[in-house]
Amino acid sequence: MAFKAGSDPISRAKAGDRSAFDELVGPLVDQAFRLAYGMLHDREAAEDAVQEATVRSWRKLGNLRPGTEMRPWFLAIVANQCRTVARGRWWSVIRLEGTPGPAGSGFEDRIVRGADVRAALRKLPLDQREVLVLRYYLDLPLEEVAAITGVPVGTVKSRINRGLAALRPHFETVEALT
Amino acid sequence: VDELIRTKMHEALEVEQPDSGLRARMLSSLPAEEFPERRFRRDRQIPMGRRTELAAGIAAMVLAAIVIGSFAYIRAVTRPQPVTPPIPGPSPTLTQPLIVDPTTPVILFNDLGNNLQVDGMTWDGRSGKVTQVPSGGQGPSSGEASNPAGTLFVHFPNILDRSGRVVATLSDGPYFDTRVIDFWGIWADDEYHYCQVVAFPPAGTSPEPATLQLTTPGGSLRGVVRIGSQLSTATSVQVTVCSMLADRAVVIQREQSFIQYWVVQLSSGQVLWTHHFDDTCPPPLPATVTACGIPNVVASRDGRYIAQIQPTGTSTIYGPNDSPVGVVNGLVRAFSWDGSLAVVASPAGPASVDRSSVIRWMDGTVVWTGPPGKYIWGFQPEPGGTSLAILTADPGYGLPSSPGTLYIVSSDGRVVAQREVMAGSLLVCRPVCGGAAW
Repeated sequence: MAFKAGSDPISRAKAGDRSAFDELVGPLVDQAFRLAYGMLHDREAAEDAVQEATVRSWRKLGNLRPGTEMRPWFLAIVANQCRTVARGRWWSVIRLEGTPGPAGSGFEDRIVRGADVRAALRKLPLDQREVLVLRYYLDLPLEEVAAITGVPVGTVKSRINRGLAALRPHFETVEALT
Repeated sequence: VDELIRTKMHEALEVEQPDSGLRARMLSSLPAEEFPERRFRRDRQIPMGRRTELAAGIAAMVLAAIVIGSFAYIRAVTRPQPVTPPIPGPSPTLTQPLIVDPTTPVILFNDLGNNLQVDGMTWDGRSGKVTQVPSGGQGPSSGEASNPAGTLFVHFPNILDRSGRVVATLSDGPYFDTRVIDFWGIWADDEYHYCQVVAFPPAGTSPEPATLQLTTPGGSLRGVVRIGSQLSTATSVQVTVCSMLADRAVVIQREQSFIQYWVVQLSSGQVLWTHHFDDTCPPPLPATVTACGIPNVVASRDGRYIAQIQPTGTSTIYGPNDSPVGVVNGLVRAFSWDGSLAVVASPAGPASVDRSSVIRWMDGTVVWTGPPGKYIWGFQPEPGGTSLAILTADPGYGLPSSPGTLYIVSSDGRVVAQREVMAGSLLVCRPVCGGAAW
């Protein structure tokens, strides 16, 4: 399909049209938040990361070549921002679950809410957590995960396998209880 | 199984959903009166009303150029001038072959415009095409995991030399495991051997002792020592340094709450020394707490110097005999070949700032300072020399195919050469870069 010069959203956004930028990036904001939350496990930090990534992508829009897929480009910026955030606080303690369960809520309740898997995810190295979130939470194909994370597909697969090996006991526990 | 994992991941992470106003907030967060940066000027649309103004501006510039040119011409014909070679602009694909001796050290990187082409740069700054590889490797790029001199590199499942000839086919080891199919070895500083750690227990087996192995392309595997343990939970045992010249290897095990590394004598398998860091959080660790205070570790290519990077942003450097020999205020990312220079990133500060420096860590002399606000994507020490290759890119891009700059910095701080390359293109940085365990 041939685009008339200046009529496609990328060209309009590059010319400073914010609504065109919204047209491009807006539909990706939910996915971006989910990716950021999956990586950072902190709602505020995730929103901040998406916001920072949005500003960065606006500023760097001029580098976007015609025909570039928006989703991997934007999600890569989000992932990179999350890595930067995580790196910036690599020594800090991740906050405890925001809403503690009611008194007496037991192990089973935490399992039901996914807290156990969440905690296990947090203990994974960030690169493994990132590919698992992209693959199984955002349901992206391996090739796109590779484009976003910036590593070959083979490396994505190995990270996924290592991550899953670490999570497997938690999945098996869940299965045993259900 | 995939569906079960997907369900559990959704269950775990859907506790936090983006609120309906997030999209509007993101849009409103764009800086007022600021337009996207325009890198490719040809995309720019010029409003009709500004054309006259623009034409006047261009006319003024042409006039100024004529005047300046006249003066320059008069000067040139009256006084001899040294000839300055033109600075070539970045070319998407290198077409001229790099003609060097097969053993000359070369920095290998993926070509900017052709993902089946491997390019190279000599340490005196000459660049050119090295080889073309056939399609069908595991990754989207032309090569990965080169040895320090760039004489051999992996194009899965083969090891190639710089002419593109298959030297060996990977047929054993963790890279051929059904769950780990990429190369995970670390080339030794003799350019021929490589080390790997084999530790992939079957599901449900835990813990499994990890084994450090030494081998050559197509050669038999030699078990060096059983070291560390690969648990079925989040654990990673890696070899980060493999030095035949110094007869050492460094193996690192990272877990959720501790890190341990071992300095091993390759010939005997003897552990020369080891450091182990427990999490500083009081036990028992709450399930929701990740690592509290464990350092990261970066080793020189021969394992003689090991930097323990503390969470505070200070790096303590240990010498060959397990004693601290220096402290650096910053995050050590890599060492030069002889270990005397360190690539140091500024301590974690504002998110976008990752300023790199090269310092002579023994006396604190800053040899070179990199461009501000750039993320350090890769580094490579000059084999047998003192220069360093440092690859930086704008953190805003995020993609390995995005533009980066490769600098060759000599030990006196001179930039010998710089070249636009892809941010993630250094072959020596796969699977890990610069003896780092991040």
